[in-house]
Amino acid sequence: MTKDNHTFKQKMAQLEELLAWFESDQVTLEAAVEKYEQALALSKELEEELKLAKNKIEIINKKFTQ
Amino acid sequence: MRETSVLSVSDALDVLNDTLAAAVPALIVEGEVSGFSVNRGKFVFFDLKDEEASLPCFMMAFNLRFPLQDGMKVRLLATPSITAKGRFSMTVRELQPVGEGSLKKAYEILKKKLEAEGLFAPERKRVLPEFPKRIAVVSSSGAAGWADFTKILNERWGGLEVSLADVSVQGLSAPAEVIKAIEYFNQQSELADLLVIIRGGGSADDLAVFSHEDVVRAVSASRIPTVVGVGHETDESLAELAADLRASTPSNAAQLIIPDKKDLLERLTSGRAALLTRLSDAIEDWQNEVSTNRQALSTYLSHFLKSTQQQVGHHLELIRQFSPEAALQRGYGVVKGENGIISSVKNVRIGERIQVSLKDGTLGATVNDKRQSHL
Repeated sequence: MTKDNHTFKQKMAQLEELLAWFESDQVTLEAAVEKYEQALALSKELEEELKLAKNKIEIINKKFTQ
Repeated sequence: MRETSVLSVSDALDVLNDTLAAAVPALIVEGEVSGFSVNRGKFVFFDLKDEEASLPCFMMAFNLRFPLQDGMKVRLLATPSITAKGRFSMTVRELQPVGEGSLKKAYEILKKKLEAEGLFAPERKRVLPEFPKRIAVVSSSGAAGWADFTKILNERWGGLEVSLADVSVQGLSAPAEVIKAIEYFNQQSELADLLVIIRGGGSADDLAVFSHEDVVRAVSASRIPTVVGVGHETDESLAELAADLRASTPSNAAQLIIPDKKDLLERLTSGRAALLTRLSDAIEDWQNEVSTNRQALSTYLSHFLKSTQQQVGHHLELIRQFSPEAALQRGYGVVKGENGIISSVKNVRIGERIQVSLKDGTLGATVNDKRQSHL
């Protein structure tokens, strides 16, 4: 897996974790504000990546005949 | 008779074979198998015939990748030659069954065999990565399947690195090419995240390559997780059964391997809304807690004050009861002498002048006698 893939996956995982925290019963006010900001930033970053990224498609320069 | 050089029988044979090889390097012939036999498990003989003629064929058993039976129609690539015994024979290089009947028979036999080996077992199927980045594709660049695949891929996701191994996906040469491509991707130092093998719809003959034993084994042996998507309406090809994931068409393959960014964007947006709700819930909870606490505190304080007041009042009452004024009221008197209050008979002389305070006045008196009590 390449670095980029890790970044996207990692961010998604972090975001899911934060959202899950909000559903738990450990929510305190101070932590909530901080985690909200984190989640918001992550969410915006992921959105940017999804919207802008293009696919790189290439045909391998090799013949597979015998 | 014209004079040519005189040849030995062996040389004559060589000349004939060289001529044949030069003139007809290879032929693709289609016909029906008859007289099929295998000699010593290694040498395969059969005749290929149509209504009028037949050609003797020979091949090595390990080259025979489809189970053959008399009556099956096959298409083969063969080179003509004359054996040492002067027999004409077609040496078969590649062979595939043709026609629904032959293909179906070959398919059934092979399917049973590979199933028994466990190639199609569900436990073998690997889980595909959720967000693949590098995608290896085996397909034909000219095929509609490839175009559909890339179109859907571009609509759904970005940031992918897709590499296509351009091969034939039908015909006699297809199996070897497809296998080479699969092996190529599996030999890279950095393996792709997924290996996608696709082609669009076609006749049973066209799709035969995907039920070719070596192709199926190559798919099964791939270290890279495989997705096989072959557009068709009839039975699944054996390669699809051996793959980690089967797609119904190339477009479907593109849908299965990556999420749709639209869905994800929606999730992110609704996730943010949910987040905001949870945040304001948290604030509300905190506010409620504070106000509840404040109330509790004030209730407690007022109770505390009340009880303190009560206690203080109680103490004052006691103090009052034990004060000298209270004693005087009850009829006691306070005796004072030259040196202040007298509380003991020892502190008094006979003849001393004393003063007695009562509740409503004082008395002047002289001590006439004194007597100590023994308690």
